[in-house]
Order: sequence, then C-alpha cells, then structure tokens
Amino acid sequence: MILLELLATFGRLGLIAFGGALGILPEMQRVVVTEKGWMTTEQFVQAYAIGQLAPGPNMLTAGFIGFHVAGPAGAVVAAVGMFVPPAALCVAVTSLWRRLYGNPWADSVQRGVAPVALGLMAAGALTLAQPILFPGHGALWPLSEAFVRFDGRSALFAAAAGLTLATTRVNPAVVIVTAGLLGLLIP
Amino acid sequence: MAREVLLLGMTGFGGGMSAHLFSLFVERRRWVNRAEFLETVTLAQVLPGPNIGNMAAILGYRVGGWIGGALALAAITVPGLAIVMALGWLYGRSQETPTADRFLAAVTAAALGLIVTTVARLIPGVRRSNGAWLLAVGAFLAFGIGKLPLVAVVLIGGALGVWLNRPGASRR
Repeated sequence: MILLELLATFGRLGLIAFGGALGILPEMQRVVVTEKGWMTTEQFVQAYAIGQLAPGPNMLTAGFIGFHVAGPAGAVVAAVGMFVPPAALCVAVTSLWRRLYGNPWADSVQRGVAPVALGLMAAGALTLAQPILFPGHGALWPLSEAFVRFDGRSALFAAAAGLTLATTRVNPAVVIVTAGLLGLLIP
Repeated sequence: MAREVLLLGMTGFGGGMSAHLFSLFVERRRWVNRAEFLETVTLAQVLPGPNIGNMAAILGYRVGGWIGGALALAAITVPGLAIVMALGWLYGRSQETPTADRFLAAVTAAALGLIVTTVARLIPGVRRSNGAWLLAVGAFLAFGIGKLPLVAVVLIGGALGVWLNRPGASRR
C-alpha cells in the first residue's frame, strides 16, 4: 500500500538525516527517483525548490513529494514520517539526558559532527546543481559532454539569487518568487 | 504556546526560523533560558531529522511535556504543509506548460543559488572544529562523489570527528 510505503520511506530518511534538509537530499533523490521511480530528477529538483516557497521547515519538500505520489493523504503521511520519529527521538533524549549541556562530550559531539554535516550539505548542493546546470546530462563527468549541455540562463539565475541572499537581508522565499516571476519575463 | 508557534509556522521561512524560535521562547516569553535554548540547538542538530521540527518539539516539550512537544511540532509544520499541498495541486495541473516550465526553471535555479550561499555561510562556524576540512571534504567526497551509503559516512565521519574533538584534545 502506497501510504505505508511513503511512511516507511520518509520515516527512514528522517532518522538518517544529518545536516538537515540539504544533507539528506542525495539519499532522498536516490530513493525517490532511482529506487522508487516516484518522480523524475527534474521533478525532484522542482519539488525541493517549491518546498522552499512554503513557510515552515525546509523539509516540507517531503510533503510535496508525498502529495505528488498520493495526494493530500500522501503529503500528510510523508511529512509525519519525516518529522515525527526524529522529533520523538529528540524529546526522548532531552527527557533522559537533562544535564547534557555542560557535559564536555556534548561539545565534542557538536564540534565533531558539524563538519560532516557541512560535507553532506555540499553533496546535497551538488545533487541539485547537476540537473539544474547541466540538464539532460545528469552528471558532471565527462566534463566535455557536460559543458555542451550547460544551461547559462539557470546559472545566471542561481548566481543572482545566491548573491542577493549573501549581500542583503531579503527573505529567501521572496528571492525565489522574484526569480520565478523574472523567469516568466526573461526568455 | 501552540498558538504562538503556529504563528511562526505561518510566517517563518527555512533557515531563519531558529532565530524566530529564539526570540519567541527566550526573549519574549522566557519559557526557556539561553543555556536551555543552546542545548536544544545542539540536540536538534546532533540527532537526525529536520532541525527546525526537532527544535520545536524539544522546546514544546520543555514548556508542556510530551503534549507540548507534539503541539509545537504540529504548529510549526501544519501551515506550511497546507501550503505545500496547495502548491502540489497547482503543480500537478500546470506541469509541462511552457509558462510553468520557465517559472520553475528560474525557481529551481534560484533555490540552488540560495543553497550555495547557505552552505558557504556555515563554513566559518565549522572551521573552529578540529579536522574540519578533513571531515567536511571527506564526507562530501565519500557521499557526494563516491556514493557511499549515508549511514556509513555519518557513523565513520561522526566517530572520527568526535574523537578529534574529544574533551581534552588541544583546540585549534
């Protein structure tokens, strides 16, 4: 049954998601696109971007994918799978380990895990960059082939959005919507 | 508490939400103190799962037990989920039209640009860890390029990272 499959899939993804929404993207793409065949790579990338348009946590992308697969019930089930088990784990650990803060190992764990999470997030960025900048190619190698497919328009939009966020205090969702509207105007 | 978090769930976006949670729980309502909030951030990041959902659940738990945690998690996710469903419905109806394609191509490209900036912004904080470059580049290569299983990368990288930053290890 598809709803149970969604629940199991996103439940597993939530419990192995280190580095937040971005860190889990490559694994999510592997499962959702390659293993389950629920959407194409292009649709997956769009699902991530559209997830950023809604308020709330970034990982609501899971709800979007669930909706794509099985309608409103799919959206709810995917979101429950993604959010509830890790949240329950967090609460359980909080209740068991009240005096975590100040424990020297807590600091060690945070300092030790943060760089790994950053590396996973960079991998997530790569997962999105390939189909966006080199559509139809799907991989960065071999480079010669990739550059034939290079999408300069998307690269310009990405650079403009990234620089806008880096240099101003504009809300990211506003940047994304503005880009979309400009995209309608600019051929 | 659920009402205030619900308001955040309707108005806050992605990465900025932890700042909103701080301002609500610590500064405006004083439901938790600063140390408790920092502890919450650490736990939400170190344990798996979406960071903001985890933070909301822990903060809600601190205010009102398991029910508080459940309410806070629901309040922060449900408004966005409703909007995601509306967007999913629109998406399903407008796919493959040239207008939607142009809009979505620009939207996805912009999202990519935002991600690159987000990742770049995290670098200064991470550099304070021992072995930061080794761990970050290693995790990127192993998972992003080498396609090794995520759980293995997290366990091995995490263990190495914690050991390099163990209590008493000299700090850079």
